Amino acid sequence: MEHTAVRVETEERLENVSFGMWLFISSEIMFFTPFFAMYIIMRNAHPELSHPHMLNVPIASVNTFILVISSLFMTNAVNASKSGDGVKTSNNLLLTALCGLAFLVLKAVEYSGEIKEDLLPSTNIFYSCYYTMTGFHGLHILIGVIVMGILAWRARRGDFTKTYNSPIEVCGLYWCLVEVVWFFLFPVLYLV
Amino acid sequence: MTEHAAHAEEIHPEPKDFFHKYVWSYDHKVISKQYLFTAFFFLIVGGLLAMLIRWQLAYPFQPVPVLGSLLHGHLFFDDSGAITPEGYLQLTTMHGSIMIFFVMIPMLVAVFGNYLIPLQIGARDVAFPLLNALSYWLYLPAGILAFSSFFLAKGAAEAGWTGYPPLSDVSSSTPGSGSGQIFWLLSVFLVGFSSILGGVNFLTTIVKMRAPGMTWDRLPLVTWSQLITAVFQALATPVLGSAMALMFMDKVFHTSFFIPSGLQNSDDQLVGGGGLVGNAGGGGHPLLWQHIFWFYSHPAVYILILPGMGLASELIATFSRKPIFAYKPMVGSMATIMGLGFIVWGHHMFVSGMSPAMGMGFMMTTMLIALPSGVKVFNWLGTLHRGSIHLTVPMLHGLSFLSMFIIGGLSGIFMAATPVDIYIHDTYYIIAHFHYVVFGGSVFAVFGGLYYWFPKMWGRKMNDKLGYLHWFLTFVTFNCTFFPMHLLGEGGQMRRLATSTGYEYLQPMQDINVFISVSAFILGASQIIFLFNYFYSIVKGPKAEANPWNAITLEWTIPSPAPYHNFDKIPTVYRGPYEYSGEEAEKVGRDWIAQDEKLPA
Amino acid sequence: MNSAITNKLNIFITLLVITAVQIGLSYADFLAPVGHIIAALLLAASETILVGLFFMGLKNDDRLLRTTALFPFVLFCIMNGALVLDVLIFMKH
Repeated sequence: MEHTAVRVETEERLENVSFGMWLFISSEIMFFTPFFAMYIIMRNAHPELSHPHMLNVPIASVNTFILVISSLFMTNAVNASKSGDGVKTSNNLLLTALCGLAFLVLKAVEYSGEIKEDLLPSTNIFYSCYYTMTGFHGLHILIGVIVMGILAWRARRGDFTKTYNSPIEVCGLYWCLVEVVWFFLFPVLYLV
Repeated sequence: MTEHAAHAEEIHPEPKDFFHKYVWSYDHKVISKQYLFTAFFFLIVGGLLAMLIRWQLAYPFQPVPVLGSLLHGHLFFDDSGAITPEGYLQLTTMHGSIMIFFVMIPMLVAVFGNYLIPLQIGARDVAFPLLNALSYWLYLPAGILAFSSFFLAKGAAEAGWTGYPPLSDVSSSTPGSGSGQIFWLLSVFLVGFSSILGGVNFLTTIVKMRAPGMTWDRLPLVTWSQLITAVFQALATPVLGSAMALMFMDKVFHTSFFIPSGLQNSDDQLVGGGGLVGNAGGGGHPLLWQHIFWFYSHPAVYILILPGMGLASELIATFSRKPIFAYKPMVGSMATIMGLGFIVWGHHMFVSGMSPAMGMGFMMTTMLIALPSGVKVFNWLGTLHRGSIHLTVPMLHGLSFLSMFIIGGLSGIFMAATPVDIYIHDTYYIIAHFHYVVFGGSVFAVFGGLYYWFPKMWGRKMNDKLGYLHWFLTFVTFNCTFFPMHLLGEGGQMRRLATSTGYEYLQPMQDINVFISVSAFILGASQIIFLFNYFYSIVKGPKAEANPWNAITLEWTIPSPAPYHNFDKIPTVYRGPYEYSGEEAEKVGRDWIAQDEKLPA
Repeated sequence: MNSAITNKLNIFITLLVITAVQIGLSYADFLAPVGHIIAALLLAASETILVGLFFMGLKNDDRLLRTTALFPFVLFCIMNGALVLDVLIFMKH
């Protein structure tokens, strides 16, 4: 692919990309749906295994705030890319990725605390749910962080212009999805 | 819309080197052919597995000729070359999994969807060509994973294509529930991911990239059926993915989502997550797997039949030389099937211990599906009525689809009734039912489609005599193979039962089993005629003109084989896809008029 | 453009406040367990709607995208609704 030529993206192409991404987001929501189904069954069958606030609420709360803050950076990045400001796009993407990394580090701290207390996925069905749901969510964060790293590098190189910025927009949609999934995971696992 | 045409030319430049032309190709037509050949390979594999299953049922525990003497002591065979009980379970499991995930879904959706969608809507390629290539290159490793699981030390998965826990989940339950099951999980996950990408791609393509004038009521029914299938692919397949993910967690991280508390093995030891002996984790729910699995796999049944309905509609309309009867109800009934398809999954679970009240609800929604299906059947009959029917090879397959689908569909309504299902659940009646739908329905539609679009795909024609012979043998032996299975099922022969003679009450029916097997062997052998015809005609078939069937849809307006960028100029569409023998056709002095043909003023 | 940015800032602050309320409310002892669950889910749903409408741009998108976004939630409700029914009717007895 040549990088010297200015890529132009028509309105139709942009619509295709965002429609495709929305479909993918829908299918991601369907991917998480059975996890919640499983959690509902588990909570009903074994109410004795869990009670509110039994997991590490402080870390999870900080993580929630981190994700909310990161979404602000993400929208800034999308706006900047639309006005063709590569450096600003790149900076905001890096800030978002940094938030994602902070989320993952805190998640690791949280996991290690539980593993030290011998609370493993195999301990009981509540911890099975907890590790699986947060684990797959964490995996999505990790993928997001990697993608944002690559996009930030490309933005700094000047790949994105006023006429070609759909990757940033798509990435923004994806990041919002990851955030929304966490909005549900956080209360159901940690708070109630 | 005119701008659309201009930039579509820049989707991807024509590759010159072999690698980008045939291997890592972005061209939807090449990707379609890649899928086709891979699916042919798996069709042969799955077919051979079926032959072995039939051998075992006709002549239990006797040495298998040829394959048994070649492979004795390996794969499914013991030292004498006979099939072992565990081997038999591998055969049924992998026959189902391969045929569904690696043959039929790719055949119907990836082959025909890829090839026909851009051509029929007047586009130069699908919306995301890179994603399209990626879905093939996810499907292939998935297939390799599934195929290689046969060669694992303990063999392939043995828990059936539905992978019900605890059999699949407790690694110590059967030899195949160890690494074989993990291979199965990974390959199904991968093929599911490939299917999601395909669904997203096709939906975007059909919704956003139609040529000017290609309104929703001018869309060919093949494309309509692909659109509705793509909704299933995009929204139901991820559920399968998470089912696989959960079982993967069970087997690898020893969680116990699908393992209940207090499960014991044959030595009365407690079995917990991942089948760890002495791990008292438990607390899971085997029924949950069935809910999640069927939430995908019932829609998957419609992924298997809807594109077939689309293909058959095309064949029946073209060779009756009549417009399709009631186009809008045809589309509406497919949309209704889609809506209902999401809320009927529980009918697979009537005997699983689900609440009877739920069973009642699922019974009613399932019976409702008979309505849109009935609408379709009557519309096909209406299309045939007083048509000028040309009994070409593709048409015979279209008619076979129609008649076999009626049989399979009707037996589906019987078993939707809970009391009937309790009697016939997991018997050969079920096997007969879904083979009538998937083989009698979809496979005939696929064969018909392959014959019908062969000139467009390869620029040559297939041999008609071999085609008629193949159709006749397939149609007759198909019915000899699967119709008697209804009787076996009512007689109580269970599916996945390796010893058809092991129970006294089954012994009187053994002759039926032998009859079925002999028919099945002929059925299997007749497919060699098709494969020979197909591959020989690619090389040596007579050259085909652009529109050999006098058909109307856009793909027939371009040369055969379809050129690299499909259309020199993006066509403008003026009329519906089935305007045979109409007023406009009369004006040009033919019984057909292409969708983009401008009438002389 | 400027009003769009202040709008996004407002949404952002609202999200922070909702999260804080959510955490605070979970420590309140005047709610029954079911009340806690309903309150938490309602707050999560409102956060989702805010993010969907303003950060993901559904507010300005056409009906097609809105339907696409809504459809999986309908399926989510069908699947979980069926399971909850099954669990409440059957497993409790």
